[in-house]
Amino acid sequence: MKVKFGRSLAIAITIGTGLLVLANFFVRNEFLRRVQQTLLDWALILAAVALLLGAVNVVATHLRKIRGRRPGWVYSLFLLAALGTVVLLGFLDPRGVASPAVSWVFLYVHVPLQATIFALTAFFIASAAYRAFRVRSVDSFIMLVAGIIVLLGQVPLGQAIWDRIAAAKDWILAYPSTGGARGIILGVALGTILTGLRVLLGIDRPHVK
Amino acid sequence: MDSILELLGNSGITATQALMFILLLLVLPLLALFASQLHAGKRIPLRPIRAFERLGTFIGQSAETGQPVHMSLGVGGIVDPSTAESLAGLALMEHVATEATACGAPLTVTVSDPTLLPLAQDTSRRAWETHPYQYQVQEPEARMIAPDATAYAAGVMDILLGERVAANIMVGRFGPEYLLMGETGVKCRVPQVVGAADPQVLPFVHATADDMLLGEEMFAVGAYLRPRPVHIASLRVQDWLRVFLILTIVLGVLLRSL
Repeated sequence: MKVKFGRSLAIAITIGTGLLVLANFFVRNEFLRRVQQTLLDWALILAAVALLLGAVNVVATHLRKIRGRRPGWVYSLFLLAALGTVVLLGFLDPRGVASPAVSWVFLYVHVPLQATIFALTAFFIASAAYRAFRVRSVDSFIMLVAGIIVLLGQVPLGQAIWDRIAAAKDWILAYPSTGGARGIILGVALGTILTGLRVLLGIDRPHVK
Repeated sequence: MDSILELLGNSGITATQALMFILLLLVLPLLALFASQLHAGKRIPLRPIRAFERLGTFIGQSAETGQPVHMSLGVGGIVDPSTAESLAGLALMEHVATEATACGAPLTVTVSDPTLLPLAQDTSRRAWETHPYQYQVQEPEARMIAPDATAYAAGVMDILLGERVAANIMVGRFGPEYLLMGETGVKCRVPQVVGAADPQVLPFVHATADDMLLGEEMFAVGAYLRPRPVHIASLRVQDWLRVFLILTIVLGVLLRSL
């Protein structure tokens, strides 16, 4: 009985909140605007609490890995040490995340590591492109031809082979490519609207047991 | 057209508000109509989508080999524009978690955005609780890797390389970092099902995934895997609205050109 009541209450809150935000989209009203702003502030607070829960989850996951001596547990040790160090640096300085020590870690450790991992994308693109352009079907063949035209249209060699290749490349990018992308975007937008409405109407309840 | 926009502008209504209002006016009655037709026994055939059909095979293989299935909910959250994609991922996760728990297949779910973590954990707990002998099966594990997209990709790469996963299912919001994960999956010879909506990421998905859920197919999870009349009706409304938009575009082009 209690569970059912809690469930109905959660659904009622979702529908009520959703309708208020939706009403603010259509009607210009100071009260609705304030309600929406308050709800957004609450969402930000909840997101911050969720980040804290996420950090606890990360620590718990890696502690389990270390305790179980699972493969790669040494990296977990490094992760926890780094996490602890940064948190400590933030707490030791009253400026918190704006402290020079935290900024130094961010600029000279986090950013270069992030860039290093992201640089791998260049090599991964090459191997993915090789696989994508292997002619296995009519679709792959069309993709290969379009890819070659776009590729050659970007470089002087392409111009030397055929002087109108840049125009062909522009045509591919402006018409078939943009048209296809917009078709996908329209489909996704419709899916998003329907998903939102299903949650708003209480049909989909990912947040309710 | 210009005069309509001017009239709306004078009334303090923007074009976006008007369009959304028209869409709502179309969606709600259509949804009710199709749902009532389905309740009355009308059948609406759905075209087969291979990605949905293969999920069962992956879970079965995982149950046989004991190797875990990895599921990624992407780098999106639930308090930003990626909410719908994240919810689509969660809907698929609910199905995968229920099936995996029923078969005794280990499942690891990873998220990047912390706002998605409580929902993922709740979904896995719900799937586990519905099992009649829940204490004899492993509860699916939902964990956060990192809120930064690149760091998340690095974490998923580590799981794919180190945990000998039986299958990799990725549905949600992805950016260019997808390629790091997708390519690693290919290199590890892990069968992959990927659902993404960003047109800039879809070429990478095409190159790396065995089965794909392209764009709007992601939002069809409910209709295919939990075939309740209202979900199928929602899919039907989506199709009708698409036709309506195409006709509106064609009409607009003709009116502008003539």
